[in-house]
Amino acid sequence: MQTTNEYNRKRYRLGLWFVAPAVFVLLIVLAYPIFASLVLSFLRVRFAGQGLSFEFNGLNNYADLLRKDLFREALFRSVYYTVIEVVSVIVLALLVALMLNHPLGRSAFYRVVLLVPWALAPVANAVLWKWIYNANYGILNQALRGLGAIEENIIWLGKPWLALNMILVADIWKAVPFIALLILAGLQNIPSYLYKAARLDGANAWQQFVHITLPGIKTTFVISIVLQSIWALKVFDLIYVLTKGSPADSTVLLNYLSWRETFSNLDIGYGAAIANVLFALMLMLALVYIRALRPRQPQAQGG
Amino acid sequence: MATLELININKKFGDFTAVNDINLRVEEGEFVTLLGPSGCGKSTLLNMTAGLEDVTSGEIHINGEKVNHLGPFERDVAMVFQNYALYPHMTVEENIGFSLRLRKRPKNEIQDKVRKVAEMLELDKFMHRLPRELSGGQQQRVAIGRAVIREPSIFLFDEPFSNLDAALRLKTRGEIKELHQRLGVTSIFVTHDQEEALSLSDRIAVLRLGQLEQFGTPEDVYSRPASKYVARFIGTPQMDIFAGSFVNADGLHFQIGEAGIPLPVSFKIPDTAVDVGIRAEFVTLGSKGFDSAIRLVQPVGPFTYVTVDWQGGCVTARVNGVSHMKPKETIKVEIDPEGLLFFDRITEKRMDLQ
Repeated sequence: MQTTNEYNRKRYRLGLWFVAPAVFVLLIVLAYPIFASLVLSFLRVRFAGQGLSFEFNGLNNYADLLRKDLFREALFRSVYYTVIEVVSVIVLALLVALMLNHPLGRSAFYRVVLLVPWALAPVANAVLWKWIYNANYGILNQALRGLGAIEENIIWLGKPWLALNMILVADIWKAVPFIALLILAGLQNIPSYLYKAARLDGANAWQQFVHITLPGIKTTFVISIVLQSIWALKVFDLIYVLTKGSPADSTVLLNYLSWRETFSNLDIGYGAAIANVLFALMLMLALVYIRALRPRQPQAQGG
Repeated sequence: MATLELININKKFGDFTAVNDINLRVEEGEFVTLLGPSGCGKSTLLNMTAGLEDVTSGEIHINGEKVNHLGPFERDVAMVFQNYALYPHMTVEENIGFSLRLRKRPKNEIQDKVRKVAEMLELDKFMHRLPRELSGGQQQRVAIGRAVIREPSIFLFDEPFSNLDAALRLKTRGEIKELHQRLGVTSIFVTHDQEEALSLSDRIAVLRLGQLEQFGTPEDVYSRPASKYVARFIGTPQMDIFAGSFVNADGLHFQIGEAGIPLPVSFKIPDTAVDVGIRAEFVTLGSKGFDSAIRLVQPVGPFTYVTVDWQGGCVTARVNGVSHMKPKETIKVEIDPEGLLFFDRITEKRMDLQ
């Protein structure tokens, strides 16, 4: 006779076979590159006549990170970029979501239109903005001059902080729709009877927003902040197309720096070290994300 | 405490008329139930009274003053929702005290009031729990506490028991009735459960397809239902209805199939076709009357409901105690003429003929 234990063990073993292919693929496409990048960051890689030469370099690549001004600047700019992007995107997306949740905004038409920036291919988006920002022919200069806001064309991507902020604008434009839809889903998950109860308790529109809406989308907020931070930290395509890090390396952010050190300066070990710093940052964010997504355990009591 | 008056209330959703010209006056301290099946407009009526929904036309008066233009809070009504509608991120204490916090009452005043209400509802041990950490009955009591603390002039209950299991439902029913006796606040209670309505109410408004079918005391709607609809909606088991005619041979009889039920001499014979309704307590099974086959025996504790084939239909009798009758056995059926209710076959309204 087969015992329940035996049956459960068999079920478990069979289950392992079912997940094995997926685990195998994940190991190849995720675990191996991460591991390889970690190994690379401890090596000094050189291009010799016969090919690549590897040499153990200890923690020197990481020590370089601390020594080099460019890394510190890139790290600072990445943090600035991420904070501004996350705050702007969340605030704008919340406003958009509130409008879409309003009876007048319920039409599916608005949601379709909203998705256009998000659906654009990243590089296409970057090229689009490159034309918008073009100093001589760009529509931004023309529009502002037409409105009388400026007298002379501005070289949008020509000044250090201005260039970085203009990249931010393009990135925010593209990121708002997705977060807005996330928040909209959160808003729609708030049962309408809570608002009814709040109205009966005497809450005005603002108090309903503070006491019902905001707590109701708290989890959505955490998820949005984490996703948007990851998105902002890994920005690459916009910089590559719009400025390539110029002027004077003022738009070099971490991910772009890692790419440039690796593939342009061919300092592969150092590039990998930068990539690993980024990886560590994102891993921490991902852990927050997983925590936020974890379903709450109801702990109902008898009686 | 307040009076509530609904005057010519209409509510349309597009082409659909949810509430059709309803007039209702609720006196101070009265407990009134809006009773009807789903879709009869009872919840819509309650929401309009609360100010959560606009009326299409008509006037709502509270304490003699028109409140159509006032929001839910200004009407000074409190509501207990079907699904409790507790704020999920607030503790029991915060849920109950929310309305006071919105009004920026002093902290110690809020604390005192919340504690008093919580003690009354036996919630004082759960003050710092979140709603999801409470059982259904406890959540229900928090919802009631949130209404009570406002000391409103009218309580509105929207099917507050429908998420509770049967035992808890009975217990809570008693608690609500006690609460009403203690506070004496005018209450409007919505339910589709006729037994609930009968046991709680001073008066019951029976609704059908958005119209008021009858508004009366529990005794009125049970013993003197205005129509066939009310008669069949109220009472367990459901009233049995038969077609028949008056026969004047060997005394006046109401003839149903082969059975003639004798009527008193004073009986006024109407000139329209008539159906008759019979409640189970007026049906006697025994040695007199017509032979009938037993179909169904349903013991419910103090009584047994025995359904028998009778004159082309079925009639149910209430037998005291647990009956040992068996299906397919034969028994004689006698109907007490006192208990007959006569309805106009066309209009379905009840006629006073005795």
